[in-house]
Amino acid sequence: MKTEDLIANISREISPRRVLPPAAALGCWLFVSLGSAVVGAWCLGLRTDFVSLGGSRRYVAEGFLLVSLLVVAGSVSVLLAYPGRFLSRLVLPLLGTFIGAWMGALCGFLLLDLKRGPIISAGWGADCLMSIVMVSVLPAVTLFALARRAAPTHLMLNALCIGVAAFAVGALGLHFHCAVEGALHRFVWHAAPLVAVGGISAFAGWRLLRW
Amino acid sequence: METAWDALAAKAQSGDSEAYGALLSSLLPALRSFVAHRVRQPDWREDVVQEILLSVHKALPTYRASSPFAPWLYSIARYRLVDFYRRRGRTLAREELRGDFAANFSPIVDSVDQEEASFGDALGLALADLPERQRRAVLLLKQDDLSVREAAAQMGVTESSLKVLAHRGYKALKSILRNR
Repeated sequence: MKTEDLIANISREISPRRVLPPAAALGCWLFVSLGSAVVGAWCLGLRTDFVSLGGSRRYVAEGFLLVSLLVVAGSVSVLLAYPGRFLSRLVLPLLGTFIGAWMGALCGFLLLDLKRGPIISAGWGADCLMSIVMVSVLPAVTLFALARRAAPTHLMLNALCIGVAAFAVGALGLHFHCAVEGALHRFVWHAAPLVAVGGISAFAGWRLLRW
Repeated sequence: METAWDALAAKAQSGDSEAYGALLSSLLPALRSFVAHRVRQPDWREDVVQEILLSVHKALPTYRASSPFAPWLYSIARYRLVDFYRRRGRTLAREELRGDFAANFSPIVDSVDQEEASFGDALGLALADLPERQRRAVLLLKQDDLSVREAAAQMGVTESSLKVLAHRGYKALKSILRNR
């Protein structure tokens, strides 16, 4: 078919169609995500000392960093799905900064723990990891669905952000549930798997987001 | 030009088909130039331009009327170009092997025809003389028409190893057929 004929054909097919604007998509996702984190924590069971944790700087700081990561990764993944809205070269430095801040804080806490005495082990936390993944599923599916409704042009980057954002939601849910205070446990079982989840998500993105 | 695109795109989003036609037509020279700088083979250029236009059509609702049209357009154009190259890369790998096969065997087919022998029979006999792994690689690619990736997965080897096996197989077949 000649290009001019193609233009004639597709220009006849035009009809006003709206997609969810990025701000609305982000709002929708944040609602789903925070809901998932709260419901997840509720189903798993809140920490028994949850009420008294407001005074713990370490707990509040980690929670704040997780929420920041969640909001930033979620926003970037939504914006990336709309062509021309976000500079793709900023994605990795931005994500790196927020992930680095979270993991760096955990490493700092780990050093503080080491000053107090020797740390024997991170403990067994496979159930923590499973719970994070379970809480992450709905936010991840929602973000993938929102991205597919738009027109993502950086598939792997977009999917990487989706993986990171969804994992942060799961980690936030666990933040309300897991009563293990040790920084090593939190680093090994709550934070480090983010790297694997982000990688898997990025590779899955090539197939899931292609249009 | 870019301002004209912005205005036409805004009208097209509200369902104005004339404005949409004008927008797509006015994009053509820019897209052709964009593609011409990035795609060497002239035969493929118009295909890529058409794919970009179809993607623009599909993604038009994601354009925000208050922002410039050009960054939106070129994001899509770049994505489609990368996608085209990925797909083309896979096809090329197949065609390369087919070309390799054809280049190796066309003179032999001619000579076999001259001798009024059946090339199929000759090839079958020659295939039987190949080492097992080379024969399997050739058959998976040529008889079962699998892609390099699929054939490599079936044989449990890397794509490069499969290409090497197939290439050695073709050379061995050529030599066997020539000696018969």
